[in-house]
Amino acid sequence: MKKTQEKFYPPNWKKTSCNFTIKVLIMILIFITTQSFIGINDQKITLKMENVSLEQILWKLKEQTKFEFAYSNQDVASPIKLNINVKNESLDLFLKDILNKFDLEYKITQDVIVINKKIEQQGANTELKQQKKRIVNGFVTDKSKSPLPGVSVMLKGTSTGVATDIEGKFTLSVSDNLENILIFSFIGMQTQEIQIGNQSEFVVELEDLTEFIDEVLVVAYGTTKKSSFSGSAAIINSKDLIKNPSSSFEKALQGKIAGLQVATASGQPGATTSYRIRGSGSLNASNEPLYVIDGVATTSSDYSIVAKDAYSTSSILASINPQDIESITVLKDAAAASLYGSRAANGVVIITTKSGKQGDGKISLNLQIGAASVPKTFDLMNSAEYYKTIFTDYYKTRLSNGYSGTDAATWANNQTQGLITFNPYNITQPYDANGKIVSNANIIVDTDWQDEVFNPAMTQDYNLSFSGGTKQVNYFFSGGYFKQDGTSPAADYSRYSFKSNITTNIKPWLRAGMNTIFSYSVQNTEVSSGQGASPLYNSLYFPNGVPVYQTDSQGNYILDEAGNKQFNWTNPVSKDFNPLAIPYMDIWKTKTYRLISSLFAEIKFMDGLKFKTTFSPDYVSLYETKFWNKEHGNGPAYGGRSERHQTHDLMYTSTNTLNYTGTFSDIHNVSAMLGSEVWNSTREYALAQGTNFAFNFMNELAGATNPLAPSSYTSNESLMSYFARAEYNYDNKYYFSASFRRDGSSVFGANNKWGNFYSFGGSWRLEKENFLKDIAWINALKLRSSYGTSGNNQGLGRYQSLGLWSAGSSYNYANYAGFAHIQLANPDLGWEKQAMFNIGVDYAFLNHRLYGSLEYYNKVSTDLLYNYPLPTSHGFALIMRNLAKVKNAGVEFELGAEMIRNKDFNWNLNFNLSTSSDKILDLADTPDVIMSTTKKIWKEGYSQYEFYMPTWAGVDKETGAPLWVKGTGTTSTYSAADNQFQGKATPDCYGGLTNSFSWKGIDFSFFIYYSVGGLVYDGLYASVMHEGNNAGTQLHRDVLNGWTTENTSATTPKYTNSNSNLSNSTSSRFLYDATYFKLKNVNFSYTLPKLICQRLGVLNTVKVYFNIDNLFTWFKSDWKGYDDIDIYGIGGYNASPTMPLSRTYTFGVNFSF
Amino acid sequence: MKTKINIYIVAAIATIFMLSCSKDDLTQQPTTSVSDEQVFSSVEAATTVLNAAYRYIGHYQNHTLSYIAADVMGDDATVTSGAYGYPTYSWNQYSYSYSQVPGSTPWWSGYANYIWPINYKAIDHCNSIIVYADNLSESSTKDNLVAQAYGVRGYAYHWLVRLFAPAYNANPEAKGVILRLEPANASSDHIPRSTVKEAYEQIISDLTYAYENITSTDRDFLTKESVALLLARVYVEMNDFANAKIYAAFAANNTFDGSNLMSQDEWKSGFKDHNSEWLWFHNFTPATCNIYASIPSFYYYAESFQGYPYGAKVNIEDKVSKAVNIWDGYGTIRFTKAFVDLFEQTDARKRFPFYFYDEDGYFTSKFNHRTMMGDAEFPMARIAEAYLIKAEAEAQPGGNVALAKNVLNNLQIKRGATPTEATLENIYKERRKELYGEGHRLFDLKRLRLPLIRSTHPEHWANVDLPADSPRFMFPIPENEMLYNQSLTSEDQNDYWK
Repeated sequence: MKKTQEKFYPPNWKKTSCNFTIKVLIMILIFITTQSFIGINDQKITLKMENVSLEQILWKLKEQTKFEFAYSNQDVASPIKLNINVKNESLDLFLKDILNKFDLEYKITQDVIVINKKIEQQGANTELKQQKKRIVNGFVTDKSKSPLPGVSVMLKGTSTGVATDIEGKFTLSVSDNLENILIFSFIGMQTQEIQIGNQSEFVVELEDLTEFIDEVLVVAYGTTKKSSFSGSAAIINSKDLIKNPSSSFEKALQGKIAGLQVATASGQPGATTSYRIRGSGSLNASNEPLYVIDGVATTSSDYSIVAKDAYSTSSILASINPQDIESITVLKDAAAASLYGSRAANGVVIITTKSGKQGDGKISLNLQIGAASVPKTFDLMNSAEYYKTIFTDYYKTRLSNGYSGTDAATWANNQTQGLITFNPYNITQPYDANGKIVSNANIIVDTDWQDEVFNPAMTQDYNLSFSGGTKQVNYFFSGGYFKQDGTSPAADYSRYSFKSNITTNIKPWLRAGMNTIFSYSVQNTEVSSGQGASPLYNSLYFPNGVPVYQTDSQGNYILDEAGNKQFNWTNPVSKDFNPLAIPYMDIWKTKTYRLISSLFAEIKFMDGLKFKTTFSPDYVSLYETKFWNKEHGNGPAYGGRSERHQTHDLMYTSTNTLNYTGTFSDIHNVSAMLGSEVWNSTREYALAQGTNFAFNFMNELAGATNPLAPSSYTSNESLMSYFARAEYNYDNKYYFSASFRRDGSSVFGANNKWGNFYSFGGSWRLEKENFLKDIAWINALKLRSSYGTSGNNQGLGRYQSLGLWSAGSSYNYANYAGFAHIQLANPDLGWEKQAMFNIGVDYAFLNHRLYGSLEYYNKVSTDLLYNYPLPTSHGFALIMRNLAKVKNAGVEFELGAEMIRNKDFNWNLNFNLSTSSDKILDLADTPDVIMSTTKKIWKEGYSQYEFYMPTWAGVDKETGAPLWVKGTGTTSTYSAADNQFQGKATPDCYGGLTNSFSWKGIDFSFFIYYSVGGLVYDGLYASVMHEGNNAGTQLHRDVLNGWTTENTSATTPKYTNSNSNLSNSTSSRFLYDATYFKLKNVNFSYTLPKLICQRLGVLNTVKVYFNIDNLFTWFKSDWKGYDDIDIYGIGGYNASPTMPLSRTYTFGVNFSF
Repeated sequence: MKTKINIYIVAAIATIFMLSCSKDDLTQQPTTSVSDEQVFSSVEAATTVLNAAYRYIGHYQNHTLSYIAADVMGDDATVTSGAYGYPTYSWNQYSYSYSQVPGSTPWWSGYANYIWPINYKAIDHCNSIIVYADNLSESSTKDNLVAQAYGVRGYAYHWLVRLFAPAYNANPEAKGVILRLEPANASSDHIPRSTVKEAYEQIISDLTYAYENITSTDRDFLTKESVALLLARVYVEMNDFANAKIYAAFAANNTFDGSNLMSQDEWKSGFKDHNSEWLWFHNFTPATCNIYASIPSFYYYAESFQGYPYGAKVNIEDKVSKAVNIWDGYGTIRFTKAFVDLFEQTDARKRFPFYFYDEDGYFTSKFNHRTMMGDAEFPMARIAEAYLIKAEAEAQPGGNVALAKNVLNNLQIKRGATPTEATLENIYKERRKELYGEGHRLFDLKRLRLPLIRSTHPEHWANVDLPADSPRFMFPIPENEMLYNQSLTSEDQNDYWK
């Protein structure tokens, strides 16, 4: 390779490459007069280039004229360099002149200029001359059978070729060799190769490159072509997944797939993401889909104890490097998913990782670097506003109790400073006897805690891969490093990942391969929620009057002996915490090791009959560290406390399938599969912990002088399955499919171990029928429908059906072992059952310029795992039973449009829209379930996401008290207010719109996500609108407009210190319309012209790109919170702070060799 | 060739159906739990269930919330208001201000939702022991185990009835608690509220069984003496002074000369380790309690203030610089100046080291810490209470007033206070001084049918004045019980919360 390059370019090339590139880019002036020319003779060109090769000249001509050039690389690969300076010259003359210098000539057919060696040259080749010649001819059309003129027809490996004429016909003289191959190529079409053999007449139909309908879909236990698929599935390819660096692929699917709802509950790097495919069929069990990686069903459960203790999450799916993913298929309906049986009810997400393709070896290097920041924070009071609010109430109360103005002011100043824990003014009595600010009072501390806590963070992502293949072996290797810092202190995630995928044809009848992924990741989790250790909580709730560093009464830092600033540990909110220090002093670290490997062998008994056996171990190992330092925060009482959690999960899947495909009488296509599978998981866990450390920098347990109770457990789960699938199609027109699976699981009750699941599907390609065949604008029209059943076993404890008395340190009394009754037995516990009906149409019109699908589904989930509520005096709050029934239905619409499709400029538009409604059909006569933690109610006839809380009735004009609806009137006592139905959290519809433009090497795209309808409860805003109910805690500036005797029409109640009217408790006061549009992604990329790449050495492609994520969000409502509704989750409710998603700017370069 | 292929195909199909592992794999057993049968297979195993019941009794969401509520819902104790740089951290604030809610959110305002189910959890464990122990072979350890279960159940019902129902002597026919005497199972009945009287009958029956059958003497579990004191506590609430006298006498080993009371030095050192006066203590260890949420954490005080005498007003600015470790615990509970002034200077029980402002009240050092903050044993029954019950019973009309005076004076002298006449008022006052912080004041107000008067003291920022027998002295029946107990109607909710 290198050698060729040396030969190709003059020796001085590399030295001057940089300058030259600039010269090429800047100095070359090309003026082409293109005013509606007719033929090559009329085409005039103006061109000024220095030191360029023939190919570079042709490239320019190709770019600037309407002509296509057909030539073989060999012919134009001359080291000769030219200087060109022509003005208004005819293209014909120019070409002839130039080509002559290289002993070349050209012919023109339509718009294609075919360049060949001069005939004399060919004639000089005696060998060729002696060979026997044959004439081949043919006819080239597009899919709609219209003739295609100007298609380049080349004899492979030679420079012989022609272009088709205006009727799409061609004639070519070739040497009489049966092995000869013709290559048909045309812009916008798939290149086709056809072996000549004995044929001399060819009818060739070229397929559109943009054809979407015949994508290869990875489906359950195999692949299929989308055109023949009766189920509902969507696919996302790698280029849409990796636009910006992300720890995990899940977020990238938001808005891209109709029927898939995505919510990320935290911006913590490495945290989990929630998926809902076609709504929520479960009440108490999990609604998360099944994840399948390269054919192996795997876990998506969150293993991390430490992340959970920090009220956050750590996604096990992040152990897969998104850069290693080739495609993701989402299986939505029964025909697509129910072959996964008892795990398929929430849909299936199939991840296919990259593999080598036959062809030249390829090296790809991708470098990305990004910066993230929190775009929007809460508008909170500054020091002066907060002081005044607190002071005024104290002052007025004291006055009304009969004290003098002087006494009241002194008392109120003291109280206020006590409440803030710091006097933010430079004088001790900033407010005087009249309750007015003193003129020489100046604020010395005004800490914007949100600003202090949220800081720009960097993301890096580097990936290198090698891939390629021969007839015998395909290979893909990659290594990646990813590091993402959180936007709040000390949170980050980093991952090292490796992958190797080899497939070989060992014998004609035996194929085998192994695909292995290893990754090591480290997550430092930010403590979230309402914990004192949470910087997110503290940033919202510390008043601005609290200094970051110890400060004297004049605002100067109190330095320690070494002259350093010292952190301030006093504040009214979180005892002995400082959000800028604690995250760096404590440790919340999760290290995850993951090895997924899959070894398969496939035996071909005869054409169409194959047996495949796969064995796939999946090993997850976590080593987690928690450390509370001994100086401040949670640790001092323990003298420092440290924990080590070890979790191992060894899973394996063993799958055997027998596959048959065959065609009879050319029109009967049959395929069938029979299989069995065993899945097993053994999870082991151990905890060691200790307290009382000698030093803060020593956190290993060896340094702990007091051990705390250790703990361990082992748990097992197994699943055993038999399955079969049969498919038949008649003449690729009528398709039928059926599947069956029988699953046995250890999770369920002794009386209910086995379940059966089945599906039927059919489709009809109307465009193949005679009555549509001749309608040119219909390219595809397929009607499909399916019905089937599946189950849900996810989200259940492994021993959920058993009566349990459990050991554990929570049940011990002093040093005596305690066993607590934690679960009542239910041997009847079984699967959640789901039946889904799907009907849809896939279409492509106007030469595939408009394409998409429209479908409707209806799924009914019965025997839902249901936490049957018991009165708490029972000793148990609930027992799990199979009781309830839920229905989900919706419409999904996808539309793709090639608004502009021509040689240089393309505008592509993709739109999708999903609606979904869910309804509880039956709660088996149990009382309505009121969920006080998420403020929802489960009631027959309502969505499971129905908000249920007191209705806000505004402010009492007389007293400034909060009012809620009670009966037909109102009450100012929160606990007396009526709980009422408020509407559901889930949107009425949601989806995405992608616009992509490409012009030459420039690609520009933007993506808008939208969600319409539904409600969201802003618990964070509520917590800073406490009107004194949470003494000392920061207030939102909206409280400034609260009720006073002068402002009786305020919508915010009166502020009172030591308030206990619960004015900010959950009510419709903080419910918002969740409708929003988000400019989620803007992407700009530039692929350097091939010419320049070649100049740059061994490079094949260089692409540079710039990406912005979460650029802008528009809310329909007067939304106060972070620029991110996702953190409120699917249920639209989150009362405690988590890290919001950030706006990210990414710059990347991709090199391939 | 054809046959060969057929053989392979048959082999492949056979593999598909045979590779699956044994069907036994579909039955898995947990490694850290045992079944109903296993846990009652021996007395040793069943004893672990009793231990869990004790753990529930001491659970911070039960023990801390209910004991502190019983003090701060009275007139002597307060919770700091959140001013003076000492936030309430929301703990206990809503029971103090009588603004709690029947729901469970926000968690700090819905105490009933923790206290109620955790006590019933303990009761369920006791019910299981009482019922399933029938299958165990007879032995003295088994008899003791069962008697312990009765004792814990009686204790738990006693707390529940006092928190969730009116006083017995106010209205014995009022609605009481839900008396569950059978272990939980999937089809357990829904049971209505008993009357207060029925609840007290059950408590007496349970405690009497325990009194008659407990043989163990470890004081971190119930003993015959401590159960006797619990019985005396119950009888005095029922105005059954004859029985109260008998059981108080048994609890004190019939010794009321002061010799069985702790020394003044022991009192002054702060309650943290049990001593001979403690008949029953909860054996908290750092590993089995939440040290931040245990009772002593809320009484946390600075060990010293440089340059201040004991009991002085401390300049708020010295809070950090001159105190040692003041911020370690929550330290939010205070006592009113009026209450502090009840004590004579010589009284060993006057444990009020300092205060910041009159309006904030006084810190107390009655409760102390062992190896770390929040780590301390807690007294559940002390002989001093037996003295006070004995004195109160004898001071009733027709009682032996001289004996009452003798018993009362012996306690007063032991503590360093001046002996007084044994009037009921004096005895009630002595109870306040002796038992503050130990979960009695609210129940004394209720059984003595006294009003709650706070408005006269500036230390009270929640100026809740309530008449005697106020329905607000009762916790709300928690929301989940009201919703899911099919034997209850909205009429079963306590009056104030309806």
